[in-house]
Amino acid sequence: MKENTKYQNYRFVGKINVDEIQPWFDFATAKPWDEPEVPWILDNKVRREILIILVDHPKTFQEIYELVKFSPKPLLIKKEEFKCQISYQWTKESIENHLMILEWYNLIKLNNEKYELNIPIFPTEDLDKLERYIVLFTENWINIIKELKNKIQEKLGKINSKAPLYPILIEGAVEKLYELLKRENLIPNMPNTKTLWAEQLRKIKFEEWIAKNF
Amino acid sequence: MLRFPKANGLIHKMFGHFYIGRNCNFTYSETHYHGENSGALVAPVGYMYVGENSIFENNFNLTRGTPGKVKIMIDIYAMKNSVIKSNIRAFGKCKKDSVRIRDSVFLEGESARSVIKMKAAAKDGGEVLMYGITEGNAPNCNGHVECNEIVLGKGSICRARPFIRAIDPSSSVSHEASLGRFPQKWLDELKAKGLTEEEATQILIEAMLQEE
Repeated sequence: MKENTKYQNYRFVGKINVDEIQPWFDFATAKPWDEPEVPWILDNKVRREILIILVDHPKTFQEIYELVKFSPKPLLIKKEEFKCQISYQWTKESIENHLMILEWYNLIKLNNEKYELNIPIFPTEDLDKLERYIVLFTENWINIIKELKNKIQEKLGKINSKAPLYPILIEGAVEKLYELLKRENLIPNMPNTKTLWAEQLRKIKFEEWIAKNF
Repeated sequence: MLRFPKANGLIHKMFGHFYIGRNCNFTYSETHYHGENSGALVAPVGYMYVGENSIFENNFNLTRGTPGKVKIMIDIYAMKNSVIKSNIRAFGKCKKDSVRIRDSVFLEGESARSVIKMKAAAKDGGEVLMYGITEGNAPNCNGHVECNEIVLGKGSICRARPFIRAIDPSSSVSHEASLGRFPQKWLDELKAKGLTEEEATQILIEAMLQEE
């Protein structure tokens, strides 16, 4: 159930930028240890399904409830040969709990009794369209890096010839780029959506494998 | 029982979906033997959906021979009044052995119950990592994660990461874990019967990892 006490306003949400090392700093991830992490929320298939359901347009609780149910699809035999009689329907209470968790972590929000996404989630078709722009971006960066590489090595080689300074420099540059893009409001500070992508990818690969082998 | 006695560079993958209907009693047991060369890579992924009033038991044993590299991920979704029992036993015996298992139970239906029991040992540089995840998403559900791991010899490592989440206020989820060596009292009792410490430890490991 959703917490409706006065403590709701006081709950601690960790900062993203860490200027000083604090007791709550996690050295492995370089983030506050209690930073809300999206991956654990997306461990659960139902919550992943809810996010995918909301990609098209915002939906009411009743609509989500009706969509979160499934029957196993026959993959190795034809539909005519086998009629599945199993159907898994999630209860209203558990759907409420899942929506509450997603809302708590700001992945969705309730607006006029409809739940909508707070993060961009692309269906695979849209991602394919984006591909050529991604290539354009990276090719430009690679050209710049190639041009500068020799100059950089010449300069840095004098400092320490043995240390792998070049990879460190590249990593630093990527991080700095991300930071500058954020500062310029060119990218939103979005949570990790890779898990969802992996979910779709796994499905596609599995269906490809079925089509190829059977 | 899956036997690969001469495994060398063997890769065994699985992507499985189990759909268990209502009022069923289903037991899935896997016992592996990968030979003595640590030459196997086993990486199965399983999604199990357990229907109303059903009982699902999952048994995975990898205690004989050398496991090699094992990466198992199982997600179990438990519907109303279902009961889940998951027993996992693994033994990493040398530096090449790495056993990583993630066993998740999502209690999605009212009064669903689950127990995850993970028992492992690592010796002579072996590595074992166990994730036991239980999530109470429905009213009156009840889950428990238990993890016992024994470390033998320097360089071996055992890790346990129980993640328990109670999302519904009427759910109840618990965990207990013990890692490291056996209690001294147990060893002393066996030593009093004339066994050496190594023999006593061996007997206790066999007792811990034996199939029920």
